[in-house]
Amino acid sequence: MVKPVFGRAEEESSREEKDESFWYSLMPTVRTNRGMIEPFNVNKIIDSLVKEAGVSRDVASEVAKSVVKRILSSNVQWLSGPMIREMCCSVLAEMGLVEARKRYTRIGIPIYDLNEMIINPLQHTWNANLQINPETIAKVIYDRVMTEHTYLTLPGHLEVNVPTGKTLSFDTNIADAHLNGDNYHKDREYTSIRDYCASWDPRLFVIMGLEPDGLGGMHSSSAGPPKHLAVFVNHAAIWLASWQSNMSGGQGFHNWMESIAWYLRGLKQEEALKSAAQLVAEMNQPLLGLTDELYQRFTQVPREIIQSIVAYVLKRVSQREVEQACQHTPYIATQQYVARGGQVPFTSIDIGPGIKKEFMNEPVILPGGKISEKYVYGDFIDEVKTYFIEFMKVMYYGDRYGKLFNYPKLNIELREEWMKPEFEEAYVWAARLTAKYGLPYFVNYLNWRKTVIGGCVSCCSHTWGAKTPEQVEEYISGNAVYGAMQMDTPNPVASAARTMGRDEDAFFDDFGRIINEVTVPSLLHRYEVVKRIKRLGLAPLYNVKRPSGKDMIVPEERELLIGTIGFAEMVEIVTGYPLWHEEGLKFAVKVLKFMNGLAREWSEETGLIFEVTRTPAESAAGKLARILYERYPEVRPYLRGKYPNVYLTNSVHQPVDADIPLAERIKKEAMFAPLLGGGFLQHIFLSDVQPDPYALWKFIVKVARNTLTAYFDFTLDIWVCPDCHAQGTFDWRNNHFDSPKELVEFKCPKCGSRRAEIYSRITGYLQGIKATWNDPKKQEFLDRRRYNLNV
Amino acid sequence: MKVSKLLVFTQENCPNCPVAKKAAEKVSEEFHIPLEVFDVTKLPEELEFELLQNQIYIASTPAIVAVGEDGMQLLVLGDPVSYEELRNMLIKG
Repeated sequence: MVKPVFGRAEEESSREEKDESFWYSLMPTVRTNRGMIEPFNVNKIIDSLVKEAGVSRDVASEVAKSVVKRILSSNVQWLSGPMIREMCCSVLAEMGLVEARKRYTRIGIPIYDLNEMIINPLQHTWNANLQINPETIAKVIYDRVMTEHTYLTLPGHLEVNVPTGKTLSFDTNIADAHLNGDNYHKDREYTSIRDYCASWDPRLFVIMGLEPDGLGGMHSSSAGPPKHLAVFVNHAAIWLASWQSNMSGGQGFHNWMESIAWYLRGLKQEEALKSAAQLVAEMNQPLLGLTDELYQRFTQVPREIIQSIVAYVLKRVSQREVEQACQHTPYIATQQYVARGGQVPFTSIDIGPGIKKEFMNEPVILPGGKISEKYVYGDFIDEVKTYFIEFMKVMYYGDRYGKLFNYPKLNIELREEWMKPEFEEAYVWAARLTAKYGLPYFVNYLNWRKTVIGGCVSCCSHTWGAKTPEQVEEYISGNAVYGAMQMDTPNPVASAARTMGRDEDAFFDDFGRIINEVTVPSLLHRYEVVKRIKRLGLAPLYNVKRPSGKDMIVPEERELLIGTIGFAEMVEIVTGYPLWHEEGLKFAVKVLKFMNGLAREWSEETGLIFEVTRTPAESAAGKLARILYERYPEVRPYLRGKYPNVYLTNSVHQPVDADIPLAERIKKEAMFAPLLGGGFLQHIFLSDVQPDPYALWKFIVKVARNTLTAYFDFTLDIWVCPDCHAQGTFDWRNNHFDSPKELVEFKCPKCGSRRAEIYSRITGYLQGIKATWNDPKKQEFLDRRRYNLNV
Repeated sequence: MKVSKLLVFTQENCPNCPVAKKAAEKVSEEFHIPLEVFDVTKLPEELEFELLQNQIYIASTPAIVAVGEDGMQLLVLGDPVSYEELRNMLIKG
C-alpha cells in the first residue's frame, strides 16, 4: 500500500501509521470514473482536495481521515469516485469550508431525474424552441449540468481588464443574485462556452467561400465563393447553421437583397435576350444533332422568332430557378435539426422589395471579392423585387401541406425609397402573408429611425445600426458583423418590492445597486469568457479573418445588453398607477432614462458597448414571477396570471390583458422605442380571422409613419393538424379555455385529433404552444387581449 | 392644425441648425407664433415626455415641432429647411 502523507513529520508516531495502514487495508476497492476498479488510495483523495478544493495539505488530510472513518463504519462493500467526493463535500461543509466545498462539488444529475429527462425531456425545460428528438434529451441534460456549472462558477469576486485600460473589481455573489431573482442571466447554460447572437452580411461568404469548421476546411471541407443562386442559398443556410453551433442566440443576415442581387441577373430581360442571341449564333446542325430535314425546317424559321422562343425559355428557366431558391430557403431553415441540441437554427433575414438607397450606386462585390466594373447594385432593382414577391409567395403557400414556415424570421424593412407605387405589389404580398399567418416582422425606417445607417435586426428583438464611419464602411463593404455578447435583465419588480411604501429614491438606489453590482459584472463575466474562448481557440470560427482582416468576433465590438422586464408591475407598485396612465408612463420613462444613464457611464468606464433593450423573456417572465411570489408575498396582487402560473409582463409592454384601445396600446408602447437602443419589438395581437391585405398594408404604413415604433409584428393564432392537414386561424369567438391544462386538450376542429397544435408568437418567434410553451407563457397566451382591425 | 407655438431643436456642431433656426424665427414673426429654441442635449424632462407622448423623438437636428390644440406635429427632423419650405408647411397645415 502507498504510504499516506498526512503532512506530518516522518518521526511522528509509527504506531499510528501502522494503525492507519491497517485501516486502509480494510477499505473496499474503488470504481473510478476512468472505468476501472482500483485499490483504495487515500493519497488520491488528499491530492485531489489540495488541487481542486484549494485547501492545505493538512486540511486535506483531516478531511480524508474523516471520510475513511465514515466508510469503514458504514460497512459499504464498494466505493465509487462520486461517492467519495460526496462524502468529502459533506465533511468540508461540516468544517465550514463553504467555498472549498463549492469548488470540490461534482455537478451531476440524480439518476431519478435523468431517467425522467430521458423519458419526458420537454417536461424538464422552459425553452419553447425545443421539440421531441434524441438530441433534445442531450440538450436538456446538458442544460441542467451547465446551468449548475454557471451558478457555481459565476464569481463572487470578478476582476476584469477593460479596453479603457482599467482593471475593474467586483465583489458580489452574482450567482445568488440570479437565484434570488434580482437579475436574469440569459442563456445561462451557454455562459461558459459561447458568444450570444449575430447578424451577418452574406457577402462574407460571397467573398470568402465557406469553411464551417473555421479551420480552413480541414475538419469539414472548403467551398469556394458561390457562383450560382442555388449555391448562394446553400452557403447561406450552412453559414447560419455553423454559427448557430458556436453561439447561443439567433443568427441572421442583413443586406440579403444586395448580396443576392447579382445572382438574380438571369432574370433580366436584356441578359436573357443576349444569352439567347449568343445561343442562336452558336447553333449549328452537328451541335444540335438535327437531321438534314429538320435543320432545313429549323433554319426557315425567322431568326427573331427563334430568339424570342429561346429568350422565353431561358427566362422561364431562370424564374423557376429563383422560385426554387426561394423554396429552398425556408425548407432548409426549418428542416436542419442541427443546432444547440436538436433545434433548427434560430434564423432571420432582413429583406425589402428593393435595393437600399446607400447601395444604389455602389459597385457590386462579385464572388471572391472582385469589384464589378459593369454592375452597381441599383442595376438589379427589378430582379430583387421579383425575388421578394416570389419569396413572399413561397412563405404564403407554406410547406407541402400548406403549413406555415416559422423560420427564417422575415424582417420586412420599411424604407422611404420603397414607399412608391412600383413597390406596393411587393409589400402587399408581405401584408398577405401577415394576414394569413402573422409571420413577418416589420422593421421601421420611416420615422425617427430614417437616419439609421447600417440598420439591421436579429434574434428575438435586437436592433443595430452603424455608430461610427468605420462601421458604415464595413456595412457597405460586406464586412459588418453586428450582435450582442450577453443580455442580463435586472428585475425592477424585486427592487419595487423591497422599497414598497418608500419614496422613488429608495427604488432607484436599490435598482441601481442591482444593475451596478450584479447586472454589469455578470455581463463583463461573459466578456471575459469570450476573450478566453478566442485566446484558447475553443471556437475556431471566432478567429477567422473577415475580408477586411478583422476577426469575425471582436469582443470589444459586441454589445452588452441590459434587459427590461416587468415594467407594468413595477410602475404600479411604485406609483400606484397602471402603465397606461400618464403617471405610470412618466415613471417608466424615468426608469428607462436612469438605465440608459448607467449604460452610458459603464460604456465610458469600460470602453465597451452597453445598451438597454427589450428582454424576450420566454422563460424569465415566469421564473422571476415565481421567485417574487415566494420571496415577496406583498407583491402577489401585482403579478399577472394565477399561481403557480404567474408571470411578469414582457419588457415595457402594456399588460397583455390591459383594456385599452389598440391605437392607444401601440402608441403607449412605441413611445419607449427610442429609449431602448438595443431594440424593442412590439406585438399587435389580432383576433381577425382574415384581415384584408390591402387595408392591412395601409395600416402598417400608418403605424410606421405616425408612431415611434421601431420594430413590430401582427400575431395571429393558427391551428394546424398533422393528421388531416387542416389548418386555420384560431377563432376566439368559438373557443374558450380556463387554464393552460385545458389548452393542452385542444383538438382538431375538423378531425378531432388531439395532435392538433396551435402556433403563436411566444415572444419573438412563432412556436407550437401545446408542445413547447411553458405554463406561465400558456397562461399569458390565454390572457392576451386580441384586436379586430376591421380592415 | 392651428399652430400656437413653434419649438426648434438645435445642438452644437450642427451644420444645418443656424439656417433652420433663422427660418423658424422669420416664420414665427410673420405668423405671430411664439417660438422656443432648445438645445437637444439639455431637454427639460417634462418636454421630453410630452414629445414622446406625441410620438416625437428628436433623433437628429435641426428639428422643428408645431404645437397646436390637437397636440404636436413634427415638421422637420434632421434635414435642412429654408424659410419658404417651412412657410409652406405651416400654410398647408
